[in-house]
Formats: sequence, C-alpha cells, structure tokens
Amino acid sequence: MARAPRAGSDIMPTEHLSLEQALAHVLGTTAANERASVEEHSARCDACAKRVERLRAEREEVRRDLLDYAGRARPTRASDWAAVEHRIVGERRSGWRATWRLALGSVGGLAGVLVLTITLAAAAAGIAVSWPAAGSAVRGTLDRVPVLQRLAPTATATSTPLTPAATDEAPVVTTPDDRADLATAVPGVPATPPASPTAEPSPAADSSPSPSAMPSATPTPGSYGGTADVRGQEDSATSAQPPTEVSDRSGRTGGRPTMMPRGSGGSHGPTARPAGVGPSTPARAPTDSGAAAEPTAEPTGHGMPGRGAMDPPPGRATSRPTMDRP
Amino acid sequence: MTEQALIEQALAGDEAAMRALYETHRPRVMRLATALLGDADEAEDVLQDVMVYALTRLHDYRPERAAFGTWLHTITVSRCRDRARRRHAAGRRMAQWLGLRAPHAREPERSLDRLDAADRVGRALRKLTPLQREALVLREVEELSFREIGYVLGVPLRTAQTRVNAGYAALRRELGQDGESAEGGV
Repeated sequence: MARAPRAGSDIMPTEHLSLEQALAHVLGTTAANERASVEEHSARCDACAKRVERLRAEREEVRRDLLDYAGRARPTRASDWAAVEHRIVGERRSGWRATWRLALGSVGGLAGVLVLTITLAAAAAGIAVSWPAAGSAVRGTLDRVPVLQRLAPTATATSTPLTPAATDEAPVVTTPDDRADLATAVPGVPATPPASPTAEPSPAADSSPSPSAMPSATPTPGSYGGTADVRGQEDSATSAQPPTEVSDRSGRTGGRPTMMPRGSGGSHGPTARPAGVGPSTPARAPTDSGAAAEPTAEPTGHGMPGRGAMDPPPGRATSRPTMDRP
Repeated sequence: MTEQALIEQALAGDEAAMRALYETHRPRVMRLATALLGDADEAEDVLQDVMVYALTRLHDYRPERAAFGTWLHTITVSRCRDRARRRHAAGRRMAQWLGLRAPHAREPERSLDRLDAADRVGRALRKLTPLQREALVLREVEELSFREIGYVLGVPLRTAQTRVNAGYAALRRELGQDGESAEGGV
C-alpha cells in the first residue's frame, strides 16, 4: 500500500489518498489549499476515486440512518402548540409579576431610605420632624438608638428612662427621719411636711419650680419628641423658668427631671419626677397623704416644701396627668 | 411571508405569527433534540423549552448574526446539554443504558442483526463524545455549514470541521466500518 501523506500536505503523484484525506474530502472539511490537489489526484488515480466514491455512498447511508433515527418523533398535534402557548402566557405573566414586584420593592425601599435619611438628618440637626402616619413608629425606633441620643440630646430623648440626675441627685424624702436629716443639713428645710396641701407657699416656695416643672417637661408643639400640650403653655405663664428655656428644653419630652433648673432653692427631684414614671412615685403618694394628715408644729411654707406643698393647687390638678405622658 | 416578517409580527404579539414560526421550525428542533438525546420523549420536552424560550425572547434574536433556525439550534443544543448533564448526574437511565448498551463494533454480526440500521447508527451515535455528536448531527442531520456549526457550538470554523471529522471517524468505528481501507485494497 502506498504511503499515505498527512492531511494538509501536498499529495505526491505517486501516493494514494489516506483514509483521513478521503474522509475529509467526502465530508467537505478538506482545507481549501489541499482540495485542488485531492481532486486532481482522484481524477488520475482510479483506486482513490473508487475509495472516495465508496466513502461517499457510505456517508449517504449513514446520513439516511441518522435521519431515520432522529426523525422518529411523532407527528405534530394541535395540543403541542396549545402547551407551548400556555407556557408562553405563563412566562409573560410571571415576567410582569416579577417586574411589578421589583418595581414596588424598589419604590418601597427608596421611600424607607428617604424617610430614614430625612429623620436622621433632622434629628442630628435638632430640627423637629413630625411624620403624620408612621411618626410614632419611627420615633419609637429612633428613641432607642443611643447614638442618636448622643448626637441630638435635646431632640431624641423622648421616652428614655429616668437619668441618674433624676434618680440619684434628686433625694426622695419619704419618711420623717429623712426630713429631719434634710432639715439638719439644709437650712430652711422643714422637718415635717406642711399640714395641708392647701397651705400657701412662701415666696421662696413660689420661686420653686415645682409647679412649673410640669409644663417644662411637656413638649412644645412641633417638637421632635412628641405632640404639644396646651396645658404646658398655660403653666409656663406662672413658671419660674423663662418661657424660652421651657421651649428649648421641652424638646425632651416625657417629663425628664433633668429639665429642672439646678441651683434654685428646693429644686429637687420629687417635684420634677413625673407621676407614674418612676417606681417610687406610687409609693410616695400614701406617704404624702399621710404626712399631710399628721398634725405638726413645724412651720410650713418654707423654701423646701414638703410633699404636701408639691401637690398642685386645686386649679392645676388637671395638669398633673400630662406628666404621665411617655 | 418571509421569516423576518413573521418574527416582527411575533414580536408585536401576533399569536398566529408565533404559531407559524413554531410549526416551521418544530421538525428541525425535534430532530436535532432526538438525535442528541436519543429519546423522543425528552426531545418533546426540549422542543417545548426551546420554543417557549425563543418565542418569549425574540427580542434577543439578532438576524444579522445567524438565521432564526440556527439560533434555535443554538438553544436546542444548550437545552440538550442541560438535559444530558442532569440525566448523567441523576443516573436516571444508567440501568437502561447498561442493559441495552450497543454491542461493540467487533462483536459478532448476529448481535447487530437484532437492530435495524437506524437503531444501530443511533446507538453508535451515543457512543461518541458529546462534542463529536453535536458537530456530527449538526452537519449530517441538520446539514448546517461549518460556519453555522461554529456559531451554534461557539467554536471557530476549523474546530467545527475537526469535530465533524473526528465524530464521523468515531461513528464509523462504532459501526464497524473502519476496515474500509483494508477492504478497499488501497
């Protein structure tokens, strides 16, 4: 047998086509530069020409078999298109649904981010922002963020618990012994509570901010921490604190005792502690009433009034519930 | 009506145009899927997948790159590969394959007599590597040009030619026709 040249090389006139070359020629994969030489050789060499013809016939047979094998599908039915159409409709619907879902989710997310950004920026700047609908939820969430409280101490301390200034620095005088100790330590402090809540306070007691602490703890309108309380505005007229200070500090809603002016006589915690906020408030109530009922020889109406003096006058009795507001 | 006009109408939502495209290309897609998978039922599933995908993503078709039928072939080959991969992973037809595996080309003729020619060539086709089978089917069954085969398979033209050559040579070996040179006496 003649030595077969490698595919892609020129075919010598004395050599026959290799099987690889013949197959490539039959399949039409012969390179363009080799095709002419293969055809020329086949035209001159009968053996190679027969071989190519045999391979071509074999290929046709294999192709027929392949077509038979691949064409064994059942004929088309009307239900075929119905199934495809049904799936196309379903794909379109799911595509629209996914698009709508994506759009709505994006809008909702953007709105949430926008609201949060505005709220945070306003809180940092100390600007009062009031969201009509979701305001309470947002405020409740923001009030629990310590970072915000540090950033904007005047605007975000809405419902925080009592601070140490209210719990530690403000002594709670509940027993006669306490009052006696306090009277010993602080000149002018009565050892006994006033005989009756209706006792007129002294001028020093008038300057005591105990009644005015209530309105000062009430938020001003439009403040970040809460809604306005008109009663706070009424009380501010009689308050010892200047109205501007009340307005500034009232941003801290919820009746925080730290709003009490320090250094003023008798400006201690019990007057600033909102009713119902601290755990000691309910315990003090019976003590106050008991002390007020006790007859005493001590003069009343001192600079540091007893618990009875801290009770609001009858005309202001309605303002106390505002301190309960968180 | 030209195929491009049908495609444009289908893009506009014309259901009749969609159906016309489906009916026109269904036989070729079905034939290709059957040849690649060797299973008419699976080929039916692939046909549905291919046509639903193509008709819902007609906007992705670029007429300047290939004919619509060639684009469908691309999708079909991809779907058949996925099917074959899943089938292989699950080992779903392993037992069947083992039980009915085609006899080797050099086994006695009486074993081959049980199968008709189409079955024989089909089983020999399944012995080929997937790449060889794809190229050979696209060339011999679908009669695509080598350039189209390269487009469908994502390979250069020369690679497509090489795969067809190798596939055909392997098929001949499986069919027991690789003794041609000796018989031919060349």
